[in-house]
Amino acid sequence: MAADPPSAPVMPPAPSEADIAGFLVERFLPGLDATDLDPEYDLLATAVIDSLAVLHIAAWLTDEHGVDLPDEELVGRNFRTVRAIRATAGRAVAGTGRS
Amino acid sequence: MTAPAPLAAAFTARAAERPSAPALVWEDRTTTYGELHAMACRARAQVEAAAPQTGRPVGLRLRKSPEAVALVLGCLMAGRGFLLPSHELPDLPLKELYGQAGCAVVLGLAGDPLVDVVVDPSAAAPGDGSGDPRPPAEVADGDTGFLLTTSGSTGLPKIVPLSQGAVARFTAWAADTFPLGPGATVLNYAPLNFDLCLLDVWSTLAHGGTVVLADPERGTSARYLHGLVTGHRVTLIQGVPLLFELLSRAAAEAGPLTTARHLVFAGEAMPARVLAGLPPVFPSARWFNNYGCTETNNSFLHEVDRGGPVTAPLPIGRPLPGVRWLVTGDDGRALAGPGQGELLVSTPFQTTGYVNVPGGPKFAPHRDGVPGVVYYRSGDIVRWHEDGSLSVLGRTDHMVKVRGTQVSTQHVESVLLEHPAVAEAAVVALPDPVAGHRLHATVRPVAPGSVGVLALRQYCAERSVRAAVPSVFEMVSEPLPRTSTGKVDRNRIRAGLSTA
Repeated sequence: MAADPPSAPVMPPAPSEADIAGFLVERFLPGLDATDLDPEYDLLATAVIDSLAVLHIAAWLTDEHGVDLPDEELVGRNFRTVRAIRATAGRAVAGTGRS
Repeated sequence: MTAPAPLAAAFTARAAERPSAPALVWEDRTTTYGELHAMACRARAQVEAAAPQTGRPVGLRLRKSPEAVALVLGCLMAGRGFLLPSHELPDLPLKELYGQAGCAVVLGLAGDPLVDVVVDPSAAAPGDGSGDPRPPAEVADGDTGFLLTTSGSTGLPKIVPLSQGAVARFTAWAADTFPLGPGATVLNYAPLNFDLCLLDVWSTLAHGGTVVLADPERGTSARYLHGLVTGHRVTLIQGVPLLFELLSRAAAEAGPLTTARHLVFAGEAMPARVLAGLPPVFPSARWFNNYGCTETNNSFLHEVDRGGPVTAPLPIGRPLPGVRWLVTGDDGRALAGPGQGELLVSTPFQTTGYVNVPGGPKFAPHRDGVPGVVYYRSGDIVRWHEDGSLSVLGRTDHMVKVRGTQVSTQHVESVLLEHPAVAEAAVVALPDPVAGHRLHATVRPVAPGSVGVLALRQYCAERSVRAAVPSVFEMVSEPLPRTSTGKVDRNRIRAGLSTA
């Protein structure tokens, strides 16, 4: 697994794309292999997730990874793809700076 | 214009003109018009003996055969109304239907707990070796002949009476539109109790053509059906999409069906995938998309441009002569021009209403319609195109709200069926406390693994609003359950899901 960029400060790491894909497949796409889910696959347009699912993903980030998303981040475009979710989590980790 | 002859009179005239012409083909046995007429006359005498009162209909319990056709003709010649329900109904609802129709007696061709009198159209009446030469009983335009049943799969079917006049007008239209006279050979795929038989069996017999009766027991055997078409040089084929799919499959091995001149698509929307495969299978045929239902019979007809790009759903085209129609919007008022809404139709062939349930607002004049004309609310949502033609988008009862958006489960199915790797698809809406409904798609790919869930979601997302992308995709390898008429049985799929 690739390390976080060296410029990142010492923070609890955001979950990797593989972690996120694993959760999404387990929760919303039973029967699929997590490696089948392309990080750029549009989860919203294809109805894999909806606005209720966004809340489930946010809760998972908090419970399993200690990542708290500010309310203003809980919008669909931040959850559109695995990569977008990874970036949203990364911003929260960098922004809050909580230890 | 003189009124067209009633069905029994027209058939009798054809039998007198060309008694040795083939009327029916069944299991490689040909029945001539003369033989069928003689059988019908004998059946008529037995019907009259079993049901002396003319005012009440008789109940029929029949499976398809030349004798069954003769018994129906015998009822018509006797001027009796007759209830012709599906023989697949269990005894209890069937008994209830015979009672609701007021049947005086139930007639069949073989012993059966429900049958009061067994009719044998092959048996000569005692002391009368030559059959019965009497002309058909005089009937009035409004007298009931056929009593058909709707194919609704929930609850007891509705009984749909068709007048002698309605059927006579229908057979006249059918013969004006398709060659059904001497030289025409028409495949009858549907069971005898189906409204489709008004065209392929009864209109053909009124005009002198030959009907090739397909055995419903072998209705899913592609090789059998292909053999019927090639073996008997069938010129007109009417049926549900499944029939054309089966014929295409068999043709891939056994060769194209070159004798067919007319194809009539009926019963449900033709999937693009099936259409795309037809040109090499039927090199000489014109294609027609037919729109109608048991209550109104054929209402719209669209000739498909077989050389043009495949579009699904196919337009239903233009109204038949004498058909009046309206498209009503959400406010119940008729649209003045192109748009979307429920189709209301009035045809020269329609029923006056159900026998066993109140028709209520299903059959009524409309304040924006022609005064005095009774329109039937079809329950079909249509789009009225700029060019004046119509397309069916789905049933009003297949329209569901998903997160506030109107979605037709049928439309979602048709999108899935357009995917080249999808063999079958069924979409059912399940109640959902948050979304209102959620869509469950059951998909059988043409080969295991030929398409994945993610690719199908993407495919739907590129072609529909998000609410119309199913929330659950279930990939299966077994064929989907189908009804006796070859339609995907969504109720069985839904029942399986709600008990799972």
